[in-house]
Amino acid sequence: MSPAAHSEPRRWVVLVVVLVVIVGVAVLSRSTASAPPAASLPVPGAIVSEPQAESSAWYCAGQSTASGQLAVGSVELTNTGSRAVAGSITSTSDTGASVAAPVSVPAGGQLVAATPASAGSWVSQSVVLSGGGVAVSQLIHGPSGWAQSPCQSGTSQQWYFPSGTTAGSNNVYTALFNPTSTPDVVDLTFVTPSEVVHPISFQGIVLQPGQTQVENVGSYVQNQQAVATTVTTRTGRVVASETQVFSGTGAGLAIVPGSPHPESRWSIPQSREVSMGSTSLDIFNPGSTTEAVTVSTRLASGPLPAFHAQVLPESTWTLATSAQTRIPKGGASTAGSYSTIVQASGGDGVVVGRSVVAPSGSPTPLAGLSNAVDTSSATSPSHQWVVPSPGSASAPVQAGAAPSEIALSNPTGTTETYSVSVMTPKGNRLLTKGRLPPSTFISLSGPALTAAGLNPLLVSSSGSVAIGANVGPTGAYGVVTMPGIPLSGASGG
Amino acid sequence: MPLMDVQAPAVVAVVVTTDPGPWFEETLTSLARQDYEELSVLVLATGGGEDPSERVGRILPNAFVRQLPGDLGYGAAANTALDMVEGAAFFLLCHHDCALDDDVVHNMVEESFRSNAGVVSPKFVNWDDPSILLHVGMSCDKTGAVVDRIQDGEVDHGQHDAVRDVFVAPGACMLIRADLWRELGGFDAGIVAMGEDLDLSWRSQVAGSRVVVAPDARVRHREVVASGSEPLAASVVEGDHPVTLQALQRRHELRAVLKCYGRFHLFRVLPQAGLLAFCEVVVALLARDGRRARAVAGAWTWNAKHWGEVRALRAELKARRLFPDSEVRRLQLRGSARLSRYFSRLSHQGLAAANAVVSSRQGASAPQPEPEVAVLTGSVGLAFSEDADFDDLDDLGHRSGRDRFGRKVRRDPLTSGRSHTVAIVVAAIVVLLGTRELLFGTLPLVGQLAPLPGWAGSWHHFFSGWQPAGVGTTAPATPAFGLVGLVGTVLLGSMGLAQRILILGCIPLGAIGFSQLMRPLVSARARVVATICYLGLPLPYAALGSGRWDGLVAYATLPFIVARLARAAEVAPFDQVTGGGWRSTALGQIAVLGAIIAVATSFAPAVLPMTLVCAVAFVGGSIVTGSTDLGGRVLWVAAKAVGMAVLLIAPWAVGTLTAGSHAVGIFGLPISAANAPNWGDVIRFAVGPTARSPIVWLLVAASALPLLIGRGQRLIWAGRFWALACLSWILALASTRGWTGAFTPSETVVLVPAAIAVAAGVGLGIASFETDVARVAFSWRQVVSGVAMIAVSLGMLPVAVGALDGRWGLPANGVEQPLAFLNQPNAAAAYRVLWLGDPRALPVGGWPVDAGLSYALTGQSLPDATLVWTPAGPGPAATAAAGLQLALDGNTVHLGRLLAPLGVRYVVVVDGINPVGSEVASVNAPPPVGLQRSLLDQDDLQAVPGQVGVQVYQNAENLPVTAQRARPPLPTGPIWSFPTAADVQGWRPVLTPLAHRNGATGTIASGPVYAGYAPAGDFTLDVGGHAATRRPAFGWAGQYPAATAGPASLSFHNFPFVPLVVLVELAGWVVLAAALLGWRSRGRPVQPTREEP
Repeated sequence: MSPAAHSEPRRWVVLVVVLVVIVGVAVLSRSTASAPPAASLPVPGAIVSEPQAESSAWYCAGQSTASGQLAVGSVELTNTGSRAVAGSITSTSDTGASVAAPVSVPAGGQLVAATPASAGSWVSQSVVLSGGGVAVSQLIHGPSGWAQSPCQSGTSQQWYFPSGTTAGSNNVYTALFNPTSTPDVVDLTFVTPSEVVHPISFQGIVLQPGQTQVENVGSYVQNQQAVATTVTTRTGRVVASETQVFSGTGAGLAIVPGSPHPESRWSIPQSREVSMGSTSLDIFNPGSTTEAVTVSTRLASGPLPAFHAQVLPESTWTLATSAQTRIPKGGASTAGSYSTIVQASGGDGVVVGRSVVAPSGSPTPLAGLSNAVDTSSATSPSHQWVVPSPGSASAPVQAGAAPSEIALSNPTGTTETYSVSVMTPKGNRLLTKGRLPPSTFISLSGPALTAAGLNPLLVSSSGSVAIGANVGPTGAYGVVTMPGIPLSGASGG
Repeated sequence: MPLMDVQAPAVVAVVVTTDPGPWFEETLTSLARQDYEELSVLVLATGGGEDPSERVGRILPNAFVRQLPGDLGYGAAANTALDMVEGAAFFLLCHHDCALDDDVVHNMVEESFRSNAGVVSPKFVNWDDPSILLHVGMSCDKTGAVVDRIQDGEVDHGQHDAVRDVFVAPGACMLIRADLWRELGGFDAGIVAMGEDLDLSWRSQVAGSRVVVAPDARVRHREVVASGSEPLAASVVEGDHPVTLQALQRRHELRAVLKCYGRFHLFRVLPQAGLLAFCEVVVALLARDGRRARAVAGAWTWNAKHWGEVRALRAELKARRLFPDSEVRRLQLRGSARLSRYFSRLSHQGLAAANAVVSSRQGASAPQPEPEVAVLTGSVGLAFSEDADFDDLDDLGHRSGRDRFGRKVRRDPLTSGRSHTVAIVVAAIVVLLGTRELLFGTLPLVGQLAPLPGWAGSWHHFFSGWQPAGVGTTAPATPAFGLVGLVGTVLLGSMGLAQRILILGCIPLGAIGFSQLMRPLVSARARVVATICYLGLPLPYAALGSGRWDGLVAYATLPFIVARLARAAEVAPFDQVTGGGWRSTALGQIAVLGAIIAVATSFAPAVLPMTLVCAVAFVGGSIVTGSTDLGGRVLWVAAKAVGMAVLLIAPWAVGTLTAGSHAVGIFGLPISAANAPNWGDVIRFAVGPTARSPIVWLLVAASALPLLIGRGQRLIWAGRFWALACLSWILALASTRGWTGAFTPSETVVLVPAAIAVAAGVGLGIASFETDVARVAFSWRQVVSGVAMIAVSLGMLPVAVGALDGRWGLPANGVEQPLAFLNQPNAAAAYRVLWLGDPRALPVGGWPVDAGLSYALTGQSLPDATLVWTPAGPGPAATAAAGLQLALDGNTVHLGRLLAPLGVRYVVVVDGINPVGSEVASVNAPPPVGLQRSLLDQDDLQAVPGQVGVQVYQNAENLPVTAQRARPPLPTGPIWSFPTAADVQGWRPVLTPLAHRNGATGTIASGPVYAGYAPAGDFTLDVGGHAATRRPAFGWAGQYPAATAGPASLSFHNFPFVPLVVLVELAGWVVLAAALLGWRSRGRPVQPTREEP
């Protein structure tokens, strides 16, 4: 090698530069690597597709036919877009009978479609639309009462139900529906306070494409005060929902869509304890690791001391909030309203539901179940949610049924702005708007809400917001609730 | 009492001369001064124009001079003395360039009597320096290969001064008994030069005479013919082409073998000689030593032509045979002399010396210095040799481990050529061991390892104006197919072998290139270690285990590119590398560099930008080190070379650039950041399924040694290489994390400069230790150097361990096994398969949907390599991505319908590179999390169960690629659009899949015909000899609404623009190759020169 024809190389400069580059990039890559990829974000069980979508589908399971009578239902379609959307509703019963009917939802309008008649006891609906922007929910009524819940906009390999009871004459029905073109093989697992049950009859259930099947849980998991359910497919993807029938003195009816995945953070925008009534939270850990769970409650006046528990794998922590002295009884007034945030750490997360039983003598339904609002449902890509009404003026689920209060809670650490509008075919009309500080909640009720009638509500915010509407008349706050369904695209309405 | 005092037999010295030089007088004088009284001199002048009588007469007035007619060779001329001379007891046969000591004849005659020898040879020494030995008799092996008993340049210390039997008496001067010479008929007149002495000596022994060397008789020899300073007379050499002395030697050796062996031994030896000759030709061709190859092969053809003549001579010799071959062969060497010498040189002096390519490459017009070839033996003559090997060899050339004073020799490791060879062989064995299961059988359909098309198919694809990628495109194909076709053609259509050579050959080629890169920078030892480090890094095996052909090509070519870049930019010490011809000019160097980049880019497009990255890194490294000798020259050279490369692949490059924003996609497709390697993985090259141990950190750390202890150029180059490494690592991290936008080359390509830099750092570290540390007082530098060397050794262990599985983690089976049912190349109906997955997992090229999700469309058979390099733009196939994006966003439940116009019957999601294996997530390359959910949510896609490693969905709304229905035709909108439900109903397949020559054929009924090929305007539906009227469908496809019934064919017709420009491209390559290979030298007469026999 020839002698260098230049000045002596700067050794230390080279070493410093190399070290700075290697260490600096290491720090930079570590800081950026913590962001999870968008594709792995959990998708809520119900989300409204973009208005300009080519097509969309919703699946409703858990209704009974007119001959079944337990939970006769109808499907409600709410069009958040600016153009009418046509489609079809295909109703498939547990006998395999299938009936299809066309449907067209006007822009900004809401349509209640009765379930097409078909033979059998149970029925599921597949709503296929030639566009997007439509939310689909289901309304059921029967001898025990009535209920409302969102349908599901997608299929999943797992569904979790944290609440349910087969105690006394109560019963739980798990509805399975395979709307895909691929056969499914499904297993059901039940978690009770005493054991984890894998009934042989509920293992390896084969669902052919388009088939629906409803399992009577009470016949195998008998007289259990709390039953949490896990639906798992060995192959394929299904839709699952749970119908809870309360009988006897505390009659009630509930239909609960499954949660497709556990999450570490759940919100209940508003609760209220009443004398002689009971409310409890069911915190179900379906995972294989113990979860450290914190339940934080907050009154309008400030936070309350939190509840803590270690929830073992495949077990449920039932927190009877109505029995907690730190939570005041509010009666019918809003003074005792509180919001709840459930946080879990240590594993994949938990699934949270709420059971409400009203004092006897109250209007039916006296009891109900609902899911808490998961983080993915509280995080709308468009920052918009739609809250369908309990039927239309011409076809209410129950005479006089209407949202009595709508609550918004802010589970984030930043202040969010919000607005609540009522959707009408003529356009959206603003009901209220304001700011929502971190971890607080607001409730809208009274004349402003009454003025909305049976029109759907559209909630917009600057960030994540958990939304829940209490639908009355019922025996107590929370017996029938309707969460806000997130919109994946900007509403054309 | 001396014998000669009693009676001196008559000796006639026969001197054959042709236009002798000024030395001739000295030759004559030496004869005149002989102390042997009964010596007569006969001068035979043949050829030439000069009559030597006057010159002879001045010195030897009694000598006889005879001018022979014509232009005879030496042997034939000497033979005339048999008719001219009577009564002589001995003939002294002499070249005209020999000067005899005064007592030569005396001693030789005396030795003839003493040893009862028929032929006596003197000791030959150098004309100008009599202390240098030329010959002391010679030997040969069974194939007639003549071997000297001494080494080149051996000094005469009397070490060979013993009379002994030899096999060959050199022909320059020999004493032969007259009766024997007469009996043998003199020299073989068919031998014009080179080899006549072998033939005569061999025949003498067959006839029962001894051949001895009498070292007391000393002759100085100029070797004017053998050295090439005196050309052979053209008339004595047959053939149209210039014949080298090597060629003459080889043909005459074989002639001697054919003549002198008996039938049994000839039958036994000839096949061995043939096999050796074949191997030698192969090695010579590989070493680009064309003359040697021609000489060896020509020897066989020449003797075949002269077989009748040889047969007659065999018969004559048989009649005079006294000794059997077994007796004659006692003095022959055992085994093959050439083979032994080749391997000896290979082990001691390396491949170049073994192949002896230097002289043969240069050509007569460009004399070059002799290669620096160390001598091989530790004979006494080499006592003062500077060769490092000398002390380790005894007089027999054996390695003793002790010096000549008996002291045990302590050698630095890896300082001898033999140890270099051993190290390289061990490294090669490890690589071969790790690759053993890939050498035979079929490579799995993984990554870019799809089977190559046939040689004809490759050429067709190269020249074709239409590619089937996507739904069809008229963009030119990559020139890689031209190269694949060329290799396949050379290998007579053995495409499996071609694939292995082109893929697996990248690893040794990379090592060779890296060795060349290091040659000017470091010592031979450092170069060997650095090259082994380059082989010992996990990167090439990561590329191989992941099926990344582009990574392997980059590994093979970037060392050459970096070396050429430095050389063309005249960066010290690369500016001292010299070469001959046009290649060494500035333009020639740019052309060579551009050609290498072009070839590499054809297979691995990302090599093109990486060349610029290397240049930028070198400039950056120079700035950081404060070096001022580089400037922006290297950037300018790199830019010009890249421009040259683009020019050489212009049709493909232009076709790529017309893809607009998609063009950058040819460099690589984006992967998901979630599955990207982390910074630690990147730095230690853990981007594949093998050799992922953290121990590799040691190797990387050791490469920083020159930054700590290096000085001068070594430190500067270490700074440059570390700048290169840092830039390469950062770019690899950035491209896999999606920080570089659409420019996302494969990490196996981007990391190659870092691999070069790390290995070079190790080499520079050793060079720094040798130069900057070894001779200074003991300090931390020695300690650090020792630790670094240990780290280097340990750092390569993961690769050695990774070699155990025999396939570098490459799965035994790819997607061809679960998807065997798709392989229907002869299907009656044409359909397509939509492939989805991480771009690293797809067995075909494709286009991105999003980071970590790519798509590709293939026909109704498993893909081959024609679909590995897809055009930059997807064309109408982009509608598949649009539909897929809708599905992923939850904005459609009818993806099957949206894919129907593309003819998609199956959607295949590849679960990973080795879905059933155990690779870590960053290598397994799974599809995006939400993809399966989105596909299962589609109403019209039905999962096909039972496939392992892939997800397969059948499209319930499939529309065949060519189809017909009775319903009304499709809408004719000009914009790409999705179909409605009615658009995809009622179709039935009508035509066969599109074939290269015949198009798609079949019988149709009357009614609308749909054809899902693009560009639709270049396709014609011919029904009963008439072209049907075409209308657009879905904005890009074609439909023929009023097709009539009858036999129909759909075929591609357009102006052959692409084939023409590709022909021009090919012509450009041919011209460049001719220029680089020095075509101008052809046709120039090549004078015979001295060459390695």
